[in-house]
Amino acid sequence: MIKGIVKYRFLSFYLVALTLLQTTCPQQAVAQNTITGTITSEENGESLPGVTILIKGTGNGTISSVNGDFSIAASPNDTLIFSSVGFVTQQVRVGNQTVINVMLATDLKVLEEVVVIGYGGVRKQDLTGSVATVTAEQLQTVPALNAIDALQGQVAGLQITNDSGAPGAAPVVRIRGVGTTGNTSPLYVVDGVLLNDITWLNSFDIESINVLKDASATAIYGNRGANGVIIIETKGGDNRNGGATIGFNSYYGVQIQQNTIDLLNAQEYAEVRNVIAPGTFNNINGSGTDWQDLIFESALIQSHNVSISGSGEQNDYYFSLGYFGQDGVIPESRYQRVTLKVNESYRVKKYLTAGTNLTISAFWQDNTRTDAPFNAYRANPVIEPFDADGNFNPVEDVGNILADLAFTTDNQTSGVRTIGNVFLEGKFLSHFTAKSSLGVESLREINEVFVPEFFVSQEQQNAATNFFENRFERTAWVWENTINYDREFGPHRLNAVAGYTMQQVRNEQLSLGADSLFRSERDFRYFDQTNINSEQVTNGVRDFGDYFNQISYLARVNLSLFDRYLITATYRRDGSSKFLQDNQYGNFYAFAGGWNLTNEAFLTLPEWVSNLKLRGSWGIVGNDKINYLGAYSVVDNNVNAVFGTDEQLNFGQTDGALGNENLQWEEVRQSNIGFEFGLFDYKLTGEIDYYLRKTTNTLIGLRPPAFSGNTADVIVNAGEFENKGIELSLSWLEKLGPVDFSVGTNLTTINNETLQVSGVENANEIFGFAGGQTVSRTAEGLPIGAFFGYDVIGVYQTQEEVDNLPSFGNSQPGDLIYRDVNNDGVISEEDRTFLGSSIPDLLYGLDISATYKNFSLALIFQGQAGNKIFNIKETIRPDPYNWEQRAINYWRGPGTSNSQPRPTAGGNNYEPSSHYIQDGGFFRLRTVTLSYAIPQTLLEKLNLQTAGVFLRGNNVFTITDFTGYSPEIANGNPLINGVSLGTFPVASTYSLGLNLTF
Amino acid sequence: MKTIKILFFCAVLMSYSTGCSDFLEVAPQNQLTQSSFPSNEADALAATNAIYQVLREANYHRGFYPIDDIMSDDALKGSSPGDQSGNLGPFDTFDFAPTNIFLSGWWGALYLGVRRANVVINRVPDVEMDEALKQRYLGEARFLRALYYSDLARGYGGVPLITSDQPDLSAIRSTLDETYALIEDDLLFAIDALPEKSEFGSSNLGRATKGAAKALLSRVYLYMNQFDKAAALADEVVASGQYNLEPVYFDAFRTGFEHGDESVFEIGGIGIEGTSGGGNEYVASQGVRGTPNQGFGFNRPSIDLINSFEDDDPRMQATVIFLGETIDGILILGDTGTPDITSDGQPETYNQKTWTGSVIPAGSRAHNRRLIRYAEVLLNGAEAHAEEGNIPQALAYLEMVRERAREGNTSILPQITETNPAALLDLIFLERRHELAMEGFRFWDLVRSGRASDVLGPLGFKSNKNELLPIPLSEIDISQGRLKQNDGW
Repeated sequence: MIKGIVKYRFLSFYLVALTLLQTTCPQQAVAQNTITGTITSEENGESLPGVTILIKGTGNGTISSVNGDFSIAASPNDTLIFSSVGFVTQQVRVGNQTVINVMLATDLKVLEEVVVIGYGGVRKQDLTGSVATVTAEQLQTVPALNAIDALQGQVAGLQITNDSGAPGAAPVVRIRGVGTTGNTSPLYVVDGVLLNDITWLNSFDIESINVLKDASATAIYGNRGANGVIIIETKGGDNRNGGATIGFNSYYGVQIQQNTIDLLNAQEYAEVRNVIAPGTFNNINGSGTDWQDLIFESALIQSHNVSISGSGEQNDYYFSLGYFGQDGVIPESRYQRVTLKVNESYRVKKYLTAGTNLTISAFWQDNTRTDAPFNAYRANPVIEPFDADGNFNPVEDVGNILADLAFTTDNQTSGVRTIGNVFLEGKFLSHFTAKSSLGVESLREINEVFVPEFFVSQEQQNAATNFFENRFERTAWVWENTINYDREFGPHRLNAVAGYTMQQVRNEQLSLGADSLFRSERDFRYFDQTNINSEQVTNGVRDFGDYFNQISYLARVNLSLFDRYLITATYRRDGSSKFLQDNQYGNFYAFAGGWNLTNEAFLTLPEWVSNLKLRGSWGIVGNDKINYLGAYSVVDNNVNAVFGTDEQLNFGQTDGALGNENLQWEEVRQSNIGFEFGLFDYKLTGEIDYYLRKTTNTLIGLRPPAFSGNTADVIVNAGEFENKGIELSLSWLEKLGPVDFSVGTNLTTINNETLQVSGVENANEIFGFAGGQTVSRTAEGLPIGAFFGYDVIGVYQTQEEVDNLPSFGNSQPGDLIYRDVNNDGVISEEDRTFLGSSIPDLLYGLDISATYKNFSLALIFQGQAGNKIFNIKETIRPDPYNWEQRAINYWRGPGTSNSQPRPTAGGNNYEPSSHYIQDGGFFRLRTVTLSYAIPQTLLEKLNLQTAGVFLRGNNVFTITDFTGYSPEIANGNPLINGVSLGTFPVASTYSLGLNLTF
Repeated sequence: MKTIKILFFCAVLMSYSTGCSDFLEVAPQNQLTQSSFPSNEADALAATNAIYQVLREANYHRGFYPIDDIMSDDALKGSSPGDQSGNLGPFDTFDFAPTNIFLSGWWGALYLGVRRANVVINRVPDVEMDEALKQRYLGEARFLRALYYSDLARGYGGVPLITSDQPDLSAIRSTLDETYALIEDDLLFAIDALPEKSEFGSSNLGRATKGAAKALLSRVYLYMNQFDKAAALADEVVASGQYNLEPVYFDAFRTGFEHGDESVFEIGGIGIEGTSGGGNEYVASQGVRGTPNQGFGFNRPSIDLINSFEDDDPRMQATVIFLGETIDGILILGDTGTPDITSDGQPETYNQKTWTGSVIPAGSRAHNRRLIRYAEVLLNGAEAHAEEGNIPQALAYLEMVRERAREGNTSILPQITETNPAALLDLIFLERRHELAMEGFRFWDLVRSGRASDVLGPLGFKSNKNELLPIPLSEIDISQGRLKQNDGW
């Protein structure tokens, strides 16, 4: 294993070193002349200082003076490259000229920018769909494993929630609300390969991310587009500087746990326990053990990358090697990743290009006890962690967390993932381009868990060593074939694409477990008779349920008439083996139109309106994210009996989970109307969208009644949900004296509603269960996963109140008074009601940046409002658990408290109720970065192109009323979203970094 | 030329797309589906075996040790004071809610057993196989289904009667009479179809037998107040000559006496954690906490039970483990976190009927739980005959039980000669308390004999409520309220 790692690392270094050698060969010397000239702006004729002039294919260059003048030595064969931010780069061949005057045109990138939309691109001005673009620079604002984390608060309509801060944990990503009770995560398309996650991808390798939101944009991905699509393009050859560019990026940071939860200290705890059971504790003073303090530590995060990018006569190339390492703020957790990236394309013939995009990504993960924070939350503070002899003290019902961390964290996952494609692209008949691309994904992952023999208490012990190993393998390929037609007819443009794709995904895993190893050293952890009694081995080979084949046909037409009328039509037909017979094929399509008002002759818009576009779309897209076994009723194995005087195991098999052979895709019908505008010479740009998404045929895992003997959810197409809202993004660029200033903001409103739940036996509601309790109810008129329980209106102060007010049969003074919702005079489960939603009404982000000379400061704020959190941690309990601080203000007799009930071991006061619902809104300083760019003069001395250092803070502060670690509470299952069960918290990070190119 | 290339390219594409029509037909990998199971004799056997697996599940036993014994005056929650005090503690005080996880766990486990029985009952008849064997498998399935339903009926009252392997999810509760009718029908079938215990080879002991079916039906008839039938079936079991009482009472529960003469129906177990490996979860939670068993020590024999035994009744010592006692040469020290005796006089005791002597928790899972003992059949017979007025037969069965209990010591447990039927019945119930202590009968005996509110009222028992458990709230939620809650809950 270790050998393997070393081998991979060595290989990667070797490749990079090789590339370095090739690309830094000295150029041959040729006779040179001195070339002079002046550079002016094409727009207003003013001279342009600070323009970079480079000789193509070399690192040699100069910069224009304050007057726009320059002077450089170059030979007649050289080509000069003139580049400056905000202007279109120009290349001029020297020839026999000695004076070269250049006029640079303003870069109308905002308009000419090509937006990647899947199976092609479209000019921003011709775009009819709702697509948000994130650049490489924006991705570098957050030190995180997963590139998507940097998008938090940055893109309207995109909600990213880090429920867990465990190294390697994936965030919950949602685009435009929640339209399904199943998997809500979007589709990722990386260089044309369709994937479910991008944890493996080094964010430094990313050129751009495009978030496709409306049906017009996502319909081309058919049955996988409904949750939105995130298209990622990795970096290609960078030819801006002529030759090769070497980039180096590095940062080190420290992560610090943001806060601890205010719990009862030992003295307070003893007081409350003594109310429940008088005499349990005597003379407990002081604060006792702060278990939270014992499990959190500051932890390192770091990343280092080297890349080489450039282009030659016939090829563009990009190579990189990256390392990311993160320790967790809970001991024994770590994630390390090494990525190797090769992107190359070759112009084989004038009409033929071939290329490859390849990533090899290896990771090593140490898994700790992610329940450590929850156990610290519950642990009795009276108990010391160790006894006088230094042994772990037992902690009732919870276990000693330090013993958990000591004995049960020998748990590692490692893996290698290779993702790449090879493509061939040919142009023919002057307007056609045909492309065939074969993409592959190969993943091997091994998880090894070893638990030694130990004894702390009856509840916390392991009588015999256990060893468990899980091997997971994925082999997937996708073959995509498209033909593009692209033509301009005067002011009209036509772009059409048609294609055919095939895909196969096969996952397999092998699990082995054994008890009582002869030797416990790591070197002996193999399933071999040397160390393991073969009779003790339990194993299972199991398909992971993500085994499918798919065939798709796709087509799209973009038409732009008179530079102002835009029409897009999109169609995809998908056939998937996940569904049976009649339901295998589905058709998905979208129509969209746009109108560039600024180009309209009869409209005279004020001069300060630089750009104004109206666009609208409608379409149907699908969601196929189900376990393919959901269609089959399966048989369970190893349901064994024990018979005989000699106690033999007799093999048994019986019916397992029930399937539904009529399963179909979920369908999302989405309408979108939006404006795009650029005002005051594009100083103010923005977009406003109204969206309406309606999901039908929603796949719902319905828990059958237990009397069916089946406790596994049965998946049915049984719901209709609606999400609607407004998205706004604005950006303002301004120069205030010597300071470049920019402000951006984005807002998203989400109105989520269940239109209908049906499909099974009169069922019109779905319940969500967490911690053994019914926590949510999804029914017509309510949001998905609406919190459900009793509405608390006070505390019974006297027996008289118990007798006179509606109550449970066994209510007592000091208990919570629940509202008698149905007014029948008693409190029963009929009185449970809607207590709020985990889906925020509003998501927002705000970014401000200012640049003065070589310094710049950037701030990103992020927040959400209108959502609730169900703090179920407080309700899961027998009495030995600790309480949150408010428990000390318990009801002590008439008039003492009308909010905090008397302490009890269990019972009615711990039923899900509004007592445990908290406001989940928050406002956070997500990122603050102070950076310094090394001045040009110094760079030249150092032979560098650019160099910068930065100091950055992430999650610096969070303003919230939530009493837990972080208000980012999410669950991939929308029915229990926002239920706080106490997971690995997300930390604050402070980092120092360096970026160089040379 | 170019056109030809394009056409060729298209042709390749088309040939692929049309040639791959079965590309989308992907069968589940390494996974049998229900439509093709059971398809042969081996499948039929595997499906039958699977019904028994539930008997070793913790959730199956939860219905027994936590719920009914702890609800009775015979046992307390046990374990250390805090352990499971939130979920299990309320059964001592009748303070539990319909959301209690043990209630839903028991309900779910029993219906899991019902479902597995239904797989055999509905689908094995279509399997081509040896007819005699098929009848036996069907008999085993019908017996087990009746066993699961008998717990449901006793615990929850009339319940949804699921008899199909494709159950109607909108089913509602049947009446108690309908529920018992199904149980009776199943057991009558099983009595016909099953062989006697002696007809099974030693490797198949633990399977349902004719005797077990008769014994269970005799027990069920008592709950149905059909004493004539209960008496007749008990007589048949006695007459079958298949069973005898162990000479030493404690041996009826011990390792080394598995599937012994007294065992009418018994659940096997292998000392491995996890039910798929053969572990029986029944004892894991009842072993002596601390030294020597490292068990959890739930279901603590109460001081009330200890005091109720007649003088020197050996069954008291065989039922209760006390600190300082030595069993099989092993000294019982108990748990440091549990008071040796509480302020109200309750000593730290454990259930000796689940004793294994294992010092590792996994070892305790080897304990075989005796679900139906011959002694119970005799006491069922005694009660039924007493109810029917056949006093001599009642006294004879009662004396068989007491005689064994004496273990040869004639100075204790004098023979009972009471002839007044009502007084005799009281004595039979008292005998049941002692003979069957900690075996899950006491609470239901108090309920069916109408004495629950007298005896258990001081503990929190409420009449017209606690005679039955509440239907788990999650079940009522899922059924949209079609399942109605029991009265008083």
